[in-house]
Amino acid sequence: MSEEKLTYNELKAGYEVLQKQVTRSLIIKQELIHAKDSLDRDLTRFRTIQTYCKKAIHAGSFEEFAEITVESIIETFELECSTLLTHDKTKNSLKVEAAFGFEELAAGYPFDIDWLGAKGFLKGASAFIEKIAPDTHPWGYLGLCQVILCPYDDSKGDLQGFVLGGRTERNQAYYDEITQEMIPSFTVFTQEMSILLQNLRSKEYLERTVQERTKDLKTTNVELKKTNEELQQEITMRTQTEEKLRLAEQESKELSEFLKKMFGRYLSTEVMDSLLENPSALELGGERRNVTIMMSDLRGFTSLSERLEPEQVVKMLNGYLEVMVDVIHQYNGTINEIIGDSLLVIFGAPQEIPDRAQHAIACALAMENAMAKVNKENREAGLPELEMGIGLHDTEVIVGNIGSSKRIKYSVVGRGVNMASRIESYTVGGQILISESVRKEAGEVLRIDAQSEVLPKGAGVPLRIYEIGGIAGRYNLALEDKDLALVTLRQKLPLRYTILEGKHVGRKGLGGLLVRLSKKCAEIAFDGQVELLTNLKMNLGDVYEELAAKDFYGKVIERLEKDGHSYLVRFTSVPPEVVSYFQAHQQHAIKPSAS
Amino acid sequence: MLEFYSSSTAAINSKRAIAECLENALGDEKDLDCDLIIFYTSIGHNFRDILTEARRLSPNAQIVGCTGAGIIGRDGPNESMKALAIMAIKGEKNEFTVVSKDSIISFTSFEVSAQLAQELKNKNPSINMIHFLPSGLDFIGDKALEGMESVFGPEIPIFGSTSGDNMKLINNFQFIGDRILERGAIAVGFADPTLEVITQATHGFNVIGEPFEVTRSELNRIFELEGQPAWRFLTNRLGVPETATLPEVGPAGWVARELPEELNNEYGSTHILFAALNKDLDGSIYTPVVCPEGTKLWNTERDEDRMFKDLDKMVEQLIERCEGRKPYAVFHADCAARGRWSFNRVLKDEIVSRMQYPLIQDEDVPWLGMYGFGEFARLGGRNQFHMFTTSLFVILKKTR
Repeated sequence: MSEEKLTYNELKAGYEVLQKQVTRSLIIKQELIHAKDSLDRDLTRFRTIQTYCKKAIHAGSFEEFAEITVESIIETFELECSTLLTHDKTKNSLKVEAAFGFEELAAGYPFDIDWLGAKGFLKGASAFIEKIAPDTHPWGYLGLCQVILCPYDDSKGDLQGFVLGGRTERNQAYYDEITQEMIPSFTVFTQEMSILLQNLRSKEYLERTVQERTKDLKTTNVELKKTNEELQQEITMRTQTEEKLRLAEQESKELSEFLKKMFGRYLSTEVMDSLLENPSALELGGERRNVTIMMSDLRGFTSLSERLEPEQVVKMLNGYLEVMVDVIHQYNGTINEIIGDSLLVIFGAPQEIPDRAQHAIACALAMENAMAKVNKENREAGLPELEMGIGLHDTEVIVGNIGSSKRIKYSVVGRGVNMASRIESYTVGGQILISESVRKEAGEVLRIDAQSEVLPKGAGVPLRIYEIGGIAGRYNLALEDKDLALVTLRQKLPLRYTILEGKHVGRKGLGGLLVRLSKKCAEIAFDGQVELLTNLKMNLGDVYEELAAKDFYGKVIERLEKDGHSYLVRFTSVPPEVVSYFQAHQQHAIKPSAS
Repeated sequence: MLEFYSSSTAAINSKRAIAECLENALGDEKDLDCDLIIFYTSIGHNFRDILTEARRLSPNAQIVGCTGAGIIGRDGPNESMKALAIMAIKGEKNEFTVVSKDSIISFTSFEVSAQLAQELKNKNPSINMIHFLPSGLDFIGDKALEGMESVFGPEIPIFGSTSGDNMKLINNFQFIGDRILERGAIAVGFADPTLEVITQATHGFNVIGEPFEVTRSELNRIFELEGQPAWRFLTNRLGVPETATLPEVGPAGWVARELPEELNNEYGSTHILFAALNKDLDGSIYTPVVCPEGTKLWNTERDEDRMFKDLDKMVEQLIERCEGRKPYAVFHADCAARGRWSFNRVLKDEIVSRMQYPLIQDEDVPWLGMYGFGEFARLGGRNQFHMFTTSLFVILKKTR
């Protein structure tokens, strides 16, 4: 192989060529590095777009979304400025929603888009680059020298706006020229933005819907709360009312109990129930009614009460009333008054009783018979025995609630009440007297032991009264203790007497002899005439002074035929000292004798 | 004793970005107030917003900073148009001093730097290290260092970076208080007697081909290379049109000159690099160093493997120089051209991690770095202006 020898100049020229090739390779290598850098940046852009998507999807509002978007344009594409524009269809202009890097671009600055339409940029899905000459371009006033714009649509394909990135005239030297290589990634960015925006709109719509629903729910809740509160108030009121009612009921019950306890002793069950169940019965008012009126009284009780301690009187009276009230209720009598030892009882009101007179008579018989029980208890208690007289009269009276709004009483008013009282005044202990009207009303079931005519005070005509000994029929009752077994005394006992009523009232110092004697009666031969049913005050004669001063009382109940001056007198009140004196003489009597 | 806290962010809202940095840096402290904030920012941020918000959040702090092509923090590099990193410092007022000049150009590089140094010394004669952040355009780095050393002497460590933009070679900015300087200079003098700094730089480039000679020059302006207009010669040698711009030529246009042999081992190279940062209509070029006539220059070739190997070696040497001490804080300057003009994202992350992990491992050591246009790091016992290097400035507690 032949060696070609080169001259110095040839070698030098060859060296320079090689040198150029070497240095040229440096340029090429650098261009390769730039190319790699370009790829690197593009890769970085797509990575940054991913980051943008992650950030933007969490945006809580469109404002935040827009801000994230414009900042991400800067970060991703290393542009100087960016803005998110929305298309105003009515004005055919663009509205700035957010901007970054513009010193003078205020949000809402109107962007004319006629030139975009003219260039066909309003339709299309790809980004485009626009150089902006400050003096000739429609957007020249914005201070931009170059922009990259990409339109975005909604799901229907209608233009919604533009994403814009750019560089300004002032700082263009620092920022790389926007080149075609940026278009794909900018387009992708805008498409991602568009999807995210639609997602945000959907999210906002959903949130708005939820908010509205929530608002509705809140309103409903408020209404429900209000209703609930009203119901609660209603419930509270009702509870309070119920409580009041309960209290009232309790009070009523307590009152009823109280009334029953306090007054049930004096009122019949019917009257009591009628009043409790029908408070209107308490209203003032009255009616005419035929009733049988009973008046009872304890014989000699006044003088007896003067001899006893008040506690003994009350105890004795209560014991008596306890028994009597039970009997009266048993026979549906209405106790209208209790005045001391006297009872005013009505039969036939307020509830009508078809056989009111029979009820009343049966009741009177039962009351008299119940006196045995009363006296048994009295004896056991060391108290004197009691005797009761009962008068009955049937008449038309006015019954009803009589009184004022503060004090009301079911009562009976009429002359017949006084008549009953008069009749009662003619009784002696253990005796039941009835008027003619009662006898007629009761019918043929009565056992009449005696009858007489009296002329009570104020009466224009004599009044026939009947002494009742029993009643047949469904009651079948009779007086159990007549006590008429008189014994003839071995020595007649002198006495003085004073007539307490009748046409001889006030006559004093009259004398008489007590011939026969029983526990309750005596045959007395008076010096003069006395009227039947006359009440007498008597004193023993021929006895030591202290005994002679003891008054004892009686009622003339029968004239004995043997001499025209002898009368059967029923004791109405006899002091113990006199009783002892009588008992002593009875023990030495000749023999018992029927009257 | 000075205390350092660092942070960085990619947030593009400038107010939010500085707030985020302060919160991340000083989040464990009782408040965000500190005594000095040094920040590096990309050219795209709103500087006024940064200063206003920093003042609001840290009202007692002196605030200084400059622009660069990107930042490098503990979280790695960021060359976006809106990158921000800070070093927040707490200390006594006599432990640091800040001075600035609002303009520095090639012809005034020495004088302005000397004035800055004098001001620093006047304010605090105890300054034992200077963080220097001058403009990276129309500036002569070696003359500036001469100016500094004329006041403090060659012993004082001067570390930092020249300010820049995003490789457009248009402008740069410095910040002090609420002032924004254009092509100015900032100098921060530290006077903590318990601290020292060790610095080192590496480039990892090969020289290729035969050298060519500066045949006519004036200071940093080269009129002719090999008797031809300098730009025409360079473009012709590279096979690109003479109309090509400096950024278009890029690293291919970088040149190297020989280093004294005794520095080769320390530097890991026989040559030191520089580049034209401007050209004139007459075809002359401006470099950031003085290029006397007769200087021989070489084209250079970027050697990726060597860049990594030399970096590893430099880090090993730094660790050795730490003598077992954990770095107290690290300032870092990387040439802007070693960013995206040289490496993709993965490799850049790799480069940074190959610095950070061996040096500070997983320790919470503050780290503030910037992609600038030139680096100040010591070489051969005195301060040296570099280009196309990775330069680390490791603050250490002094051994007693």
